[in-house]
Formats: sequence, structure tokens, C-alpha cells
Amino acid sequence: MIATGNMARLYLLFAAAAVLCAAPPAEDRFESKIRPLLAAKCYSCHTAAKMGGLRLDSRESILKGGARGAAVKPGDAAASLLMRAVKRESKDLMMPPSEALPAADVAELEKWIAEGAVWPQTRQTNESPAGAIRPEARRFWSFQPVKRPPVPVGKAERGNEIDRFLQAAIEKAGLTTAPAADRRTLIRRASLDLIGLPPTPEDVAAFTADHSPDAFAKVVDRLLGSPHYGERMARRWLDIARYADGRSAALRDDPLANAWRYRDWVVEAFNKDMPYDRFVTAQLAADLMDEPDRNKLLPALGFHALLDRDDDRVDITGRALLGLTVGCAQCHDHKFDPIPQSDYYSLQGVFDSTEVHEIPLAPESEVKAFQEATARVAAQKLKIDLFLEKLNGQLTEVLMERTADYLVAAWTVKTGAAGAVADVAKQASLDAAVLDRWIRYIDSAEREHPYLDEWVSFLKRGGGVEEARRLAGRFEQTLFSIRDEKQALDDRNYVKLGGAKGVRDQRTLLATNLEFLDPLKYYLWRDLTESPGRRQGFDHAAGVYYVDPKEVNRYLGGVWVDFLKREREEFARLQKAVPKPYPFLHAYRDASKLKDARIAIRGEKTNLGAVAPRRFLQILSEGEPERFRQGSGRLELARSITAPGNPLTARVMVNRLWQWRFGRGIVASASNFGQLGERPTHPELLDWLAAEFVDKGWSIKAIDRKIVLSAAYQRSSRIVPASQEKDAANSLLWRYPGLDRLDAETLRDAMLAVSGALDSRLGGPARPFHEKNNRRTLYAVVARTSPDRTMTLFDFPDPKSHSEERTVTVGPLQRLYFLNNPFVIRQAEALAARLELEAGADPRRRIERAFELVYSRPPAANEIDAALTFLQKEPMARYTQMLFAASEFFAVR
Amino acid sequence: MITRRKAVQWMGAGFGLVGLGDSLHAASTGKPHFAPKAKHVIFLYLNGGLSHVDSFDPKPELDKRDGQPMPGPKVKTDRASGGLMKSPFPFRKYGASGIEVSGIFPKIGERIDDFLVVRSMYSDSINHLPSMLMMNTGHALRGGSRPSFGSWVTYGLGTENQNLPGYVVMCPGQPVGGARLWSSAFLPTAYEGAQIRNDADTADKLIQDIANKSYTPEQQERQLGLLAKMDASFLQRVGYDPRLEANIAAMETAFKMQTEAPGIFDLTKEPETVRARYGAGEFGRGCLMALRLVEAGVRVVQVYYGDGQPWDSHDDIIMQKHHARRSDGPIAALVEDLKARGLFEQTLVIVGSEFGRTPMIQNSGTEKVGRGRDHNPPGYSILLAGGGIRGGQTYGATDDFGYKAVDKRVSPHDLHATALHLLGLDHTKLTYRYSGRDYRLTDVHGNVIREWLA
Repeated sequence: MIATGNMARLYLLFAAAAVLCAAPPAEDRFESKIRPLLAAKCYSCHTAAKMGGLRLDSRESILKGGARGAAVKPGDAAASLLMRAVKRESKDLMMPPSEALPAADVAELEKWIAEGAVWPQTRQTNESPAGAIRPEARRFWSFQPVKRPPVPVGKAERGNEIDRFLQAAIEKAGLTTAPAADRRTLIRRASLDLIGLPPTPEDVAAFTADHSPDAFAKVVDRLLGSPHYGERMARRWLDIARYADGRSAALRDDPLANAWRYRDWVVEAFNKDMPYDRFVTAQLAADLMDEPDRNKLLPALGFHALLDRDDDRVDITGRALLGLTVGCAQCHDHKFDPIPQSDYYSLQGVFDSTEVHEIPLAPESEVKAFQEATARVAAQKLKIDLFLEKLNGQLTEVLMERTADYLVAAWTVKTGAAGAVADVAKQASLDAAVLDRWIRYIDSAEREHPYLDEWVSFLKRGGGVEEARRLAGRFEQTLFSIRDEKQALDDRNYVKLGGAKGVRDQRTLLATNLEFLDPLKYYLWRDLTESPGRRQGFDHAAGVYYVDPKEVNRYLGGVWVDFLKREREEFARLQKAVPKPYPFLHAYRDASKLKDARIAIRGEKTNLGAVAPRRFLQILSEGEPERFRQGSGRLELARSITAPGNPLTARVMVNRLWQWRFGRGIVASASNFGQLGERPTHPELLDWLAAEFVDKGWSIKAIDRKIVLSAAYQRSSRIVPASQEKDAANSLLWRYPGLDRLDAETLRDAMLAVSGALDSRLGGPARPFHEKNNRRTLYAVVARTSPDRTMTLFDFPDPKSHSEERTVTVGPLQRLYFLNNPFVIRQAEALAARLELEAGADPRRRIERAFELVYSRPPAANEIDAALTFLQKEPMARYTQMLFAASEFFAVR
Repeated sequence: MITRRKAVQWMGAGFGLVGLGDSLHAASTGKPHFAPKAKHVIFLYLNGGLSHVDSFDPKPELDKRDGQPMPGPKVKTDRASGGLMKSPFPFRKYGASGIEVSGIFPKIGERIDDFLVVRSMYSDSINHLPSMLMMNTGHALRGGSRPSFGSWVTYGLGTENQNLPGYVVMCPGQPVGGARLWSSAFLPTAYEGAQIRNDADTADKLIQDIANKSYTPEQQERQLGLLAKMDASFLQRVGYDPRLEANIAAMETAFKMQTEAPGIFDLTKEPETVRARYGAGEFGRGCLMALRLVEAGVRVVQVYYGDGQPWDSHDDIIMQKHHARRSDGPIAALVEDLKARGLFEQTLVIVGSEFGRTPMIQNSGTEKVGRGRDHNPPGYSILLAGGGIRGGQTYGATDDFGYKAVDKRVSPHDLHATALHLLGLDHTKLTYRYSGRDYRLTDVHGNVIREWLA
């Protein structure tokens, strides 16, 4: 996004340049000194944001002033509020708030006001006043109401209304259209396109044998009626809705085990041809819709509720449903479209007044049982942890009391006078494990403190037991004094933090300055007492006196052991008793506290400006939009979006349908119908489709059917050289554009379908990709944080943001997938087995069947020859693998 | 009749994503805007936050005022911090340039005349994730990913080696932010960084499906022979189409890739004398791998120092010494070997973090030693070398305490703009149209810093 500051400065340069040529001195000085000064120091708060009700970007607004009255009294600097503010005369009015203006600037302002506050009328302010849309902005094509144009009377002998719109442009450009596609190509194209699966050989045979004039219409109706149609369409919509089965986290997603309920709702909505206005309304406000079967619509709320952050909701609502980049007005007025910053916050207020919540899909008793059971587990865990924490602390203290004895015993072991560790420990009634750790600690090469230096040099030079006792005792004394110091310091810190509560509260901990031991003393303390683990990138061993909770029993007597055993058993019992998590919907509801958002100046949440009332976008309203009055306003927002008079909603959706069938929309930027978006290649056709869409009750299937039954959709993809010369981009659709590569999920689904392994059941929880998962790709877990590599390889969009189209790249890494990936090889093997079953032993018949299954056509003679030659040396599965690897499998013609 | 010349002409007519010769990096124009100084980038990322006042930005004032509060109004830090803290490490002058470097980086010190030390970096976000996103993608907001620096570079220039990914990222585990840091976002996925965990050292962990364990090369060649026939016959059936031809060409590359890549990742191909200088650690191995990848023509290599945020020394600044011990040698060795192999002049080396560390001690209740430093985005240091950089100089300065960059301030956008410039790319012209808007790595910011250039 373009920063306001830069634009303003740029504008000022031009403005100044324009004026300087012939300007009288006062105006000259205004442009060279005062305006830049105001722009740099004041405009961030005192233009459209109107902090304190004050704007400082025109003479009128300065004279009018803000909440405190006129900012400037021309000719009288002393009486001008502006001067008092910049001179910081009173504590409650010091501007700019961050730092005082340099004296030279104050003097300039003073002089300017004294000379009458000259403000040249060369230009208007660079931004329209907040709340007003310039009339010329309303004239932009996409804000014009949809008007159903008459269908051109043309010569298009085949196809439907769509072709008559297209034909006009094709003829005008002098293009020749490609011939109709052959039937096998056509049914393959339509199948992959509408249901995401290739046709079966039987489907193909039936179609090629059907000579009735509506043969293709029958195919299309069958496909539109297939439950797989909803699966295919849902995946397209999920791209737009940035759907994932988890929420972003640092390393991997926090899983959302119930996200799939939204996905399944979308599938069903497409299958039932839910009217699009209802489809949209449900996703924004199902909970507020007043109708008997509202409960069935509630899963729709997952559209926004699956995200835990709310700052992309306005953005997605704008781009997905309206084709407007409202999100660009988060930090400043939209630079290109008539969307003032306040409009962004008008919508933000709607979502601020909404809160995410779970709608349980189980009886209250079940929910309560689960919640209580998990709470009991947590409480029991805390009980055990606290007990062990205290106990370990005490044990450490107890063990530490005999430090000198441990050192001497370690010396005894090392000097070899009295044998093994266990014996020495036993003799001195010390703990053998601790003694062992002491020996290893003393042997370790690196210690980060000097406290054992004396002892170590004694070990090196050797000496008698007396000296050992004396030095060990000295070390013990040092350690005890450090311990005492630490204890005193811990006590003081405890008080500083406000007691146990502060000690357990991360925020208090972070915000409080504490005392610490000298680091060298701390290192000794750490090495003797702390738990093992990785800290700051390094592994630390367990402290010499640290007792692992798992080993604590070793030190405990009867009642203690018994107590701990019981508590742990209780924990295990409670854990086992937790019922299965209850199912729920990710939903939202109106918050108990409804609130309008305040404009965040320059997008900074700490710098808040005026309140933006909750209401619809101004450019899409006639006159001043009305305030939303029902709760958060979500339902009113949805109704405004789906109002028949809204010029964008229907256009945007029919354009998406067009894009899904032809690879590119009539408006190529499918989620941006603004200034910076593309212009429609066929504006009348777009409007006709939009009008038809609304007239047909917002039926997606009706429009989809219309598009697929057009002659344009049924053309061959074959290049006509003369047309290619003139319109290589095929923007007028003189041929079917074709698809260079199937998308990630269709590719996988098609292999499964052809191999016979596809599990085509509908719906249900998302499962990870693994060897036995043969369900459609739609049902695999979509990860937000670290997406699946194969999916990414084939351009599956990143669910971290809204995706308006699939990119299609082709490259060697993808070819490696076909050569070596175990999934491909598995499907190739399954297909080989299927061929054996369905076509018997004759290799020629198997090859024929393979071609029918994989490519929807019989093989040519040379293709059979090539296959037979290959099969002389290689097994069938390596042949079928190459059927998948070949372009014909993944390119759609 | 469709001639080859005509086909190429059509391609130029706007076929979008697929180009004939360069199908892996299809959308790339593959050409710099002007004569480049550098052709490759190695970005060594010390994730967590290198302490500038303990490494490359000496502050005598901290010695003088150890323990005293920093003069001026109290500054806001992420966690509770106390008075100023002197560096526990002595600095000394190195090289002909006499640049002062902390004693924990002696090997870099010895080579300091090769490095440009930028002491005036600044950033805005106090936390790791936004700061790392800023350093890597030029955009700190969480909502909506932006393409990473490496993705933009490979988008702009393509790769030299068709048999390898153009942008390789190495990290044992994951830095904070993970794949978002090397995401291609809305650029084609071909430009996404290919991550390898450099705790592994074989190609099959780097490139998915690079190897087939059950087929012999002869068997695969037979498969490829068959495939070529099938593709040819398909092309004949559907009529000539340049995009399809490009698609088919990719298969040849795939097979070459399969044969070449494994060798590059085999570090045992380096003599023991070379390997020893990089040490046995993950970061050292990453640096050596980076050398080999650049040698093989990979455009951008990024090596993250470690899993999580190891340089995040909140608790004890001495930890920086331990991390320096694992990175100083490898970084110096890398520069040395780039020179020895004639690659230094064409490879831009960047060493840095998402922010520096406060001159004040951090002594909040989450710490144990209480001798650490907090995050310091207002001022920090990075190093640059090779690829058209004028080494042996420092650039910019922080205030007397090292808190805030005050002289010749450099934002990550400026760094990106200058790095692109060295690669022959004008950062204002390297754009990609998405959702109706032309996006840039540097958004509307960024200045090329001429003083850095050799």
C-alpha cells in the first residue's frame, strides 16, 4: 500500500512547482514553508482523520477549527490556538504531541498568521472530505447498475445467447473460430471441469453413441446433478474463503477438528444449488437469519470463524464477495477506488461487534461432561506437579547438605583407594547416583565458574584425606553462602512480584525488574540444581542434585510413595474417563458489547481517530449509507451485499463461474473490479449473465449450464493460425483455451479414479495424506502453516490468503513426481491390476482398455506398437505409470 | 504452416506463465534490468537477534556507564530491562581498515577488509515474527503473506542451473515463522524456497522424488523413451501448441536433475581440509552446502543458524559467545572459499538478524541468569560482502549507547533495494501484478545505497 506521507509529499512538490512560477511572496512562502510544515507535522492526524474535530488542510477548516474553536485568527498570532499549541503553553494542549517544533518553524507559523494566514486557492485538498464520494467516482463501470442488454441478433448458428455476444466481437476482429471439439475430447473436458473426475469408458461410449441433438446437454445435466459437482465447486470456493483445517502457529497448525463441517456445508450448498444470495448471507450471518431451518445454515459461519484474527475479515469480505479491495483502505483512504478509510472501519466495527464461539452439536450434558472431565484432569495434573516441585526442591536441599561428604567420596573413588562408586556411597551413606554425577561433573572439561578450581588443582597435584576434607568443607561453605544469598534474593523478588500470583503470571514476570545472583555464582547453582533441557540453543545436563520426578520414589518412604502412587493412578483414571471431544461448529455471534471501530490513523492501532459508524460502503449506497441498527449489523451487511441493486455481487460471481470454465474471467482480475483491476473484455455479456443470474433466483447451476452449453465452451482448442496471429491471448475465445495442467487435487483424484482405488464417499473429517487415504483430495487436511509439498508443487494455493485464481506452472520438479513418487507408482500398479481383471491376458486388449480409462479414447496403431515393444522388457505397471506421466493425462484440451 | 519462428513470436504475445527455454522459472523474464555485479546471494541468517553492541558496533560509553540508567526518557522494551550493560567481550581493531570487531568473532575479524559493516539498520516491530517477515519479505503485517526476497530474486533472474531449484533454504528444524519466510506467496510457486534440513546431507531429502530406489537407470531410460513417443503423438493429435511443447521439454530437465543433484549435496566430495574449516555443526554444514550450491548455479541460498531462535539471548549475553564460536569460522571460511573458487565477486553475502539487542540489561522475571539483553529493533548491525560490495568500511552509526540508529539509517527496504541493485534489478521495476495491483518487494519504500557499492 502506498504510504500517505509519500503521496502527500509528492503532491506538494507538484503543487509547489505549479505555484512558484508567478506567486506573490506570501503565497510563495506558504507553499515552500507552511504547507510542507503542516503536511509533515500535522496532517497525519488533522486531515481526514480529524483528531479533535480539526482539519488543517484548508483555510476554511483552519478558520472553522475543531472542538476547541478556531485554530487560527488571521493577523493575530497571539490569539491563535494553533500558536498556543505549538508553543506548548498549556499542559493539555501541546502539539505535535511527540516533540516540540523547532523554534524556526514556530517563528514561521507565527509570521504566517500575523501576515493574515494566506492560503493560495490553487488546488483543493488532495483528499475528498471524509464521508463524501466524488460524483465522477460513481461513474466507474463496475459501480454502474447492472442493466440487462438485449442479446445481439447475430449469425451464431450454434450455441446460445452467450455465443451471440461473443460472436459479435469475434467477427469484428475478423477472427475465425476453431471447429467444435470431438465428442471424446468434449466429455473429458466437461467431466474434469464440472466434477473433477475423468469420464468412465462407459460414459464416453454412451455419449458417442447418442445422436440426439441434446446429447451434450444430457451429459451436462448428469454432471450438474452429480454429488461430485458440489465437491468440485466447493474446492473453488474454499480457495476464495482461504479455508484450512488449522490455524497458523509457529511450527505447525493448531488443528481445527471441526473445520470440515464448513467445507461439507459448502459442498452441499453447491449440490443443492442454494441461491447465491442465501449462500452469501448464511456465511456472514446465519446465526441472525430469521427462519425455521436456520440450524442447517450455521456451519456456513466457518467462512470467517475459522480464522482467529479479525483483521482480514473486512479484506476477504470485500474481495471475495464484492471484488473490491476494501482492505487497502486500512491505513489510509483507498488510493484508487472510492473507499474512504472510514468505510474500512465501518465494516471493521461490524466484525469487532462479533465474537467467535463454538456451537456444540451435542446435548448440553455431554458438553458439560467433557469440559468437567478435562478440568478435573488439569487440576489433578497441577496437584501432582506442585507436590513434586516442592518435593524436588526439598530433596535438592537435603542432598546439598552433604556436599563436603560427596566431594570427599568422589575423591576417594578417583584415588582408587576404596573401589567402586556404589561401595563408597554405601559406606558413607550417600546416594550413589548423585555421587556418580558429582564425579562426572568434576571430570567435565568446561565449567563456567571458578568455584571448583581450587578443588580441581588439589586433585591434580594430589594430597591426603585431611586436605581433601578441609578443601571440601571450604567449598561447601561457599556453596551454602551462595544458597543463602539466593534464598534472600528469591524472597525479595517474590515480594516484588506480588507473591505467588505474580510468580505464576507471565505478564507480571515479563514486566518486573528483578535481582539476580552474580552470573558466576548462578552458573554453579545451575550446574548443581537445575533440570536438564535445551536452553538458548544449547543442551544442558541435569544438575548434580537435581532429582528427576520419575526417580523420586527412590528417596521416598512408605506413605509418600503410597500417596504419589494413588495420585498418579487417579490422574490416569481421570484421563481415561475423559469422553470423546464433543462435535461443534466454528461460528460467531454478536458480542455482548457492540461497538463502532475508530479509524486507526496510518493503520496504527495506538493512534486512533474518529469513530466510523457501522454501515455499508458509501460507494455502494445511494447517498449517505444508513447506520446498521440490528446488533452487530452482520445481517444488514449481508443484505446490502446481496441486494439486487448492488452492482457488484452478481457480476463478481458470474465472472468467477466464467473464470472457472474458461481459465480467465471476463474481468481477468476476479477479485478486483476496481480502478486497478482489469476491464471486462465483454461488458455486455457480463451484464447479461449477471442479470440472468439474479432473474433465475441466483441459481449457480443455471448460469454454469448456460456457460457450458455455449458453443464457445464446446470448441476445439486447436490453434487457427490466422486467429492466433491477431489474438494470441485468445481473449475473444475463438478457441477453447485448454488447460496446461490439471490442478493438484484433480490430478490426484483422476489417478485414483482411473486406477480404481478412489474412495468416492462424500464428506466427513479431514484426514492426512497417507498410503491408505484414497479419498478425494478435497477431504485431505489443508495445512496453513506448512502446506503439503506435493500440493504446493502443483500450485495448490496458500490458504494463508485469499486466492482468486490458480496459477498453472509446469516444470521438471513436477515431472519427477510422475517418475518417482510412490503414490503415482501405487496407482500405476493398481491400474495394471485393474487391466488384468477387466481386459484379460491379451496385452493388446489391456492397452486398449488402458487408453479408454486414462485418455477416454482408443489407442492408435503406432501407440499400440510402442506399448508392445516396451512391454517386452518391462512390466505393465511401469507402462501404466507412463500413461500418467504423459502430457495427455494432465493437459485438458 | 506453423514455423518455429512463428511459435516463438506467439509466445511473446503473452502466454503468461510458460516459456520455452525456462519452464521451471516460467514467469521470469530471466534477465536483469541492467548489468549486474552479483549473480548469487547467500543470506546467512542468525535467527533470534545478533547483539550488535557485543559484536560489530563497539560502544565505549557502555563501559563508562555500566549499570547506570540510559540517559533520556525511558524507552519501551519488550520485557523489563534495567541499566546499561557493558559488553563482556573486548573489541579490537582488525585488518587494514582497522574496523573494531568483538573478540568473539576473531576469524571474521581477520577478514574484516572483505566486509561492509552496516551499523545503522533499524526496523519497527519489537517481536521476532514481524521483524523476520520484514527482513525476509519486506512486509511485517501478519495478515496475507508477501513473497520473500529470495522468491523475488529468482522470479527476476531465473536460475542458472535448470537441474536444481533456484532458491534453496537450509535450516535444521524451523525458524520462527517457518515457511512464511521463504514463501513465494502470490508469485508462482516455482519461486518458493526449497527447504532442506541441513542436519541431513543427501539430495533425496532436498528435492522431493529426486530418486527412485526400485528402478535401474536403464529401466527409467526405457520409460522415458516411451514417454517421448507418447508426448509426440499427443502433440500431433491436438495440433501444434507452444505451451504444450514447453511442458514436454520439462521432462528432459527432470531426468538431468535426477542425475546431477545428488552429487552436489554430497559434502564428502569436499576434501577433509575444506570440511574441517566449517566444523561439524549444522550451521557450518549449511555454509559449505551454500558454497557448493552457488557453485552449481543456484541463485539464492539462505542458511538459518538454527531451530527456533537460538540468538535470542534474553537471559545471558554470554550465549552470544557460544553461538559465535559455531558461526565465526564457517562464515570466514565461506568468504575465503568463495574467493578461492572465483565466486566472491559474483556472490553477495549477507549476514544478519531481524534486530539487535538492547544496550540495557534484561532482568525480568522470566530469566534465570539475568544478564541478557532484550530485542532492539531501533538499531542493529549487519554484514555484507562480495558481489559488488565495497568491503573494509563501516556505514552509519547508532547513538552513543547503540540503542537507536542515528546516522545514515538503513531500513530492510533499503537493504533489499540495494541487494536487488547489485543483482542488476531495479527494485521499482521488479513488479508482479496480483489482485489488480503491481506489488514490489520494497512496496513504496527503499533506496539504493550508493556508498555500499564497490
